[in-house]
Amino acid sequence: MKASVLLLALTPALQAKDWPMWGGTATRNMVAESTALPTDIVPGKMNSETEEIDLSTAKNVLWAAKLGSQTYGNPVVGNGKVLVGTNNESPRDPSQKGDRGNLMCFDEKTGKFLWQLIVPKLGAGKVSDWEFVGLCSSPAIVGDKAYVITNRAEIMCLDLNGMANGNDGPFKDEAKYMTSDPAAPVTIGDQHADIVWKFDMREELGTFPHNVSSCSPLVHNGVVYTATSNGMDWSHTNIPAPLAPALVAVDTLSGKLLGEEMSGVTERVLHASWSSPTLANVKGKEILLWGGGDGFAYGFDPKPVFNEEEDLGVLKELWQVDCNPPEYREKDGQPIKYATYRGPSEVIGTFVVEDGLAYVVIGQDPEHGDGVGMLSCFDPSTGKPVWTYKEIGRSISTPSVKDGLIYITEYDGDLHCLDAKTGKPHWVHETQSRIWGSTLVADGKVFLPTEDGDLHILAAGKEKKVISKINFGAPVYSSPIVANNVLYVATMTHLFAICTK
Amino acid sequence: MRPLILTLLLATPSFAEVTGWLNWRGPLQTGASLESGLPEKCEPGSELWTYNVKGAGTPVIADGKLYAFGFYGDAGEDVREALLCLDAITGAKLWEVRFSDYLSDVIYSRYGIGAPTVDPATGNVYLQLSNGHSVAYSGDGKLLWERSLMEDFGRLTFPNGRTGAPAIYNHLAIFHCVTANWGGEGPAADRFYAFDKLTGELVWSSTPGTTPVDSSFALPVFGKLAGRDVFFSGTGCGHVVCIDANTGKPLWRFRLSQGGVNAQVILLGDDKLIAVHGQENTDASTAGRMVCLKMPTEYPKELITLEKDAELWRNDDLTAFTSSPVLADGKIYSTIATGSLLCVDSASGKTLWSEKLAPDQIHASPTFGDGKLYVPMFEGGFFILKPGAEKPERVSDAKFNTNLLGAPAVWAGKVYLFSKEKLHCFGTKEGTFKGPASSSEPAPAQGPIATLQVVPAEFVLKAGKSQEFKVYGLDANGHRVGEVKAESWETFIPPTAKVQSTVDAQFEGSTLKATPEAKLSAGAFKVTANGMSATTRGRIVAGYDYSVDFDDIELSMKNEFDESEAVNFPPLPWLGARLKWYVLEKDGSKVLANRLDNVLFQRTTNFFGASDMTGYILEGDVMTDGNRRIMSTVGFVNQRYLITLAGNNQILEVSSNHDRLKQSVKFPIKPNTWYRLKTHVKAHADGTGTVFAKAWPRDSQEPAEWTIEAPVKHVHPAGSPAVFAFSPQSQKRVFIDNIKVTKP
Repeated sequence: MKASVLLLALTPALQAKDWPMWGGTATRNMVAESTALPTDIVPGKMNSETEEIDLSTAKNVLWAAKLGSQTYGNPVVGNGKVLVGTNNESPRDPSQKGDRGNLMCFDEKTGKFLWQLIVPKLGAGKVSDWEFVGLCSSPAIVGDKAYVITNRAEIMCLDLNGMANGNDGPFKDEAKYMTSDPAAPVTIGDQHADIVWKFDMREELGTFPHNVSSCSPLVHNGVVYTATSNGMDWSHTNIPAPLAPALVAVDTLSGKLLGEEMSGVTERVLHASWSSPTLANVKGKEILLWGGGDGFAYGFDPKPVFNEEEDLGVLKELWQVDCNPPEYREKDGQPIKYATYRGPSEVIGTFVVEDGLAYVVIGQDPEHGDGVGMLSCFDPSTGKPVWTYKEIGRSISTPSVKDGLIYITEYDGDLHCLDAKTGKPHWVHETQSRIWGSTLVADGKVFLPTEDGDLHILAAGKEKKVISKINFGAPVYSSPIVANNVLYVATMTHLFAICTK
Repeated sequence: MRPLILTLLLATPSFAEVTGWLNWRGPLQTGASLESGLPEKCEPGSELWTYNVKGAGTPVIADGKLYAFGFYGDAGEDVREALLCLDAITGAKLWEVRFSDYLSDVIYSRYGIGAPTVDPATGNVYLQLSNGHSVAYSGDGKLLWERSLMEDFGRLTFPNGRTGAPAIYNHLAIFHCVTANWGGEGPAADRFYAFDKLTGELVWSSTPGTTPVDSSFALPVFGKLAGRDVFFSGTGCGHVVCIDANTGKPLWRFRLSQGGVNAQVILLGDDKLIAVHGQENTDASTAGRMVCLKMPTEYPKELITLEKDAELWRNDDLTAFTSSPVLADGKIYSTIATGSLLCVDSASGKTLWSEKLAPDQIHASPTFGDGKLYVPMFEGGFFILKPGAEKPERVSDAKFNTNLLGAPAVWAGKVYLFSKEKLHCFGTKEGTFKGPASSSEPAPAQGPIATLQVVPAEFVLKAGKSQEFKVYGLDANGHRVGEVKAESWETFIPPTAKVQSTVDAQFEGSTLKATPEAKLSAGAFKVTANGMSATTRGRIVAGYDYSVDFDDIELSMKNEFDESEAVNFPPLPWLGARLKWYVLEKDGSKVLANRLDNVLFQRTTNFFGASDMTGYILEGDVMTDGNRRIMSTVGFVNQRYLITLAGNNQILEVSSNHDRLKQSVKFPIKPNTWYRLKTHVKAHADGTGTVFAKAWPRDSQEPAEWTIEAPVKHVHPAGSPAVFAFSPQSQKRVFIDNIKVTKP
């Protein structure tokens, strides 16, 4: 552990306004400090042959990069690089066509494509690596490394500089890894990823990823924390890997397993454990916050300890609390079926910590349609609920908390603004579209993406004020971010870097 | 049968004895009605009648009788699918049959997503249930025949349960699904099966596409190609296909999508076809497209592939996976994934207008009638709109507090709509069905016999049983001329066969007889008559006295992924087994071991017996590889109950669709330890039953008591034995040996 701490200390500090991980920081609050972000945005026309954006037809677009056909991995920005998970339907390596996961790296200033990680599909059909969903994890950039969860259920450490500076790390077999045809290894060049190490959760832990592996890892003090996506099989009632954990910690340097939750999350899992972990610091005490696939919120000691009885490292549970009210779990003494309108939900969005309070919302796979939801505010040190809000449907979004207000979207298409201390609602904005992504609050505005491909811009504040709505021409399932005063919006097919020009 | 009377009945109906909305797409195959005087308000509470059965498809109506595919119940075994017959005017029940799902992957009660189809010649009604069990009933509710497509043809099952509807063409009832059968049809593929509509015997099967990526349930749309009767359909392998309706011969295909194409296609005359999909495009990094294809006008000798130059136009505004478009007055109306209704000019392909109705759309489809569009949306909105040149007029917006997944049906002034809560009928009691005018075109004359066709085209035989065959002569257009006398039957090994295999049975006349000692075997026969020949293929499968220890199988092959492992295939008659299992040596004995080279096959169920078997004991040795974290699940299917030792869960479990039936007892399972697993199903006189199973370490004495006795409310009456393996993520192998089937 000491070595990794030392290494982190020696790596250059990130620029203050980078967005190097999901949620920007370890508290995952979808808020950015910025000024003069444009609201008058024209994404520009797409050339139907090349599928590139004609920037001469765009307004306030710094650059636009072609992604695959489905983009769920949220962009992150660190040390001059932009990373985004997508699929391989716009293959950058002509020799590697076909369905794959893909992590693309672009130059932050110019949008120039730098390198890509190509991840062959598991081949499990929709069961564990759904066709064409690509790489869904948002990486965490720490120094010159990036940590990501692949669609093959691997925790992976990458060299942020790709192969351009040589093949680093103990892992050297990128040529074989990135091909789906063992007889035809990839010809590795400067535009390929440099894998430092990988940890295969299916082989090492026996996990059974449900639909796809999707979690944005948290990296802190030399440890990578991630959910495992372990869940149900296709029957949605059978848990094939009940002995595999739902949350694990591995060493940033070696990729060795350091610890895992022993809270029984998998035995209770409703669908899958996809939520990303969050770090709270309450009066100097660090707490790992995480929403389980069982619909419970957990607080863990982030420092793994070795349990001799179990012969493995453990993330010690500090508290747990159900994010579902009792009436979502049972009616007349009988359990309410999962995936029914009134039934219980898991946590898919991410815990947010702000001003000593933690917030999380429950939701389900969008394929399950609409249903009852709940936003909860906790004391992160004890798990004690402060307030709850049930006038919201299922949500897979992560909230933004700014200036005493919390903004949270629901899958049904509504944006809610509440008082962050009391949960008292201020206003609701209806978009008439499904919402997968999360809000971003920046420059006094709330940016809200929808499945209809619209970016709604509203004024942040207690009064609802709609500023503009920009259609990006393709559904947006990701969340806008701001890094170094540039707004990034990833549609299913393109990544737009937006700033006032 | 009169072969040509019903030819293209849907496009040019003529002499039909039964009329009405006979299939879910209506009399024009386009989702459009020719009626007038249809209701302008269809709101909850304003119904003419409702019926308390849940549904997610479309009812059909024939001469005043409504047939519906619905389901009852909220949880467990109470959830049952049903075929109902109601008085279409009053909603009074005339008859009903309920079915218990078995072994399907259907989740969250996604049942009833399909429709029955009525034969216009006989009034008989046909239905494929969610697990592929297919039935034919007379209009008064008498069972004509039933087939378990799962157990007889290896029909695969999918969580969404969508089954579409059978098509009726002349003497055929055509079912669409994905199967992993045996021999040349062992690899999973999108297939059509045409059964004799009166007997249920297979007339032909057709494999028009490539490897499937989605389930398949599009309803065939009938048309003409160079004077021959053909049908068109989307497939789960992303194609639009054209198939000869009389012979099943695939004629052409066009790759539209990288996902499945399950929305209905629409014909524009004889030479144009419109299709839509909602998955990845093949030549652009976008999802969804509607195309208009210029179709071949000459009957091809061999299957041809249409390329992009067949596209007359394309429109990328449309992303519709299973919601089907409607054709009316030269316009196409389609609901798209993001919840808008689009109007597209069928000549130019241009979007004329778009109307946002809901946040999304999944499976429901619009219906057109009386100048109005009836548009159900997934979220529960039911809209009536009058299309205009630039935008629609919204006539009525209704809200149902439940999901809508089916398309409305129109009959005699009434609009019928399924919700997930009940069946709704809107409109007036007084109304007259209006169908297309009768065609004055005379049926073409039959020509001389040009080819032969053997029925059944595929057979399943137990030792000691026999199978009658009929040989029909077809004219040059594929129409059945009549039965011909077979001159000779002989064993046939296709030149392309990878395995030289013959059936252990002999012909006497046109009857194939298997002796009581006949061995499990599979192969084909060729019949000759009038200087022509045709083939049939089939299997001798396990009966009540079957055992196999694999010791006589020579390990003459190498595992293609591990050269050091000597292997061979499991017996050919086992359905879909050759890509899933090897026979190899383990612990000094030849055993069955599942293959781990393809995680797609991490779970496999392989039937090896007859689907009418009942009350038998099925037992065998089972074992899982593993460690303290990771093991696998191994077991058997006995009479449609899956009975397994689940290593990771340390249980002995009985299930049959996990959502409906899941009972277990704790049972300690160690990796790399052989257990004996013994199973039995007993049906009781009151329709209930008990599933028995016991397991014990193989080297120990058999315990006297059953380890689990699982009571079931609605016992499955019969079913084929099968082996089962589930190696999560293909990590740890399972092994099976010394299988025995006996009748107690």
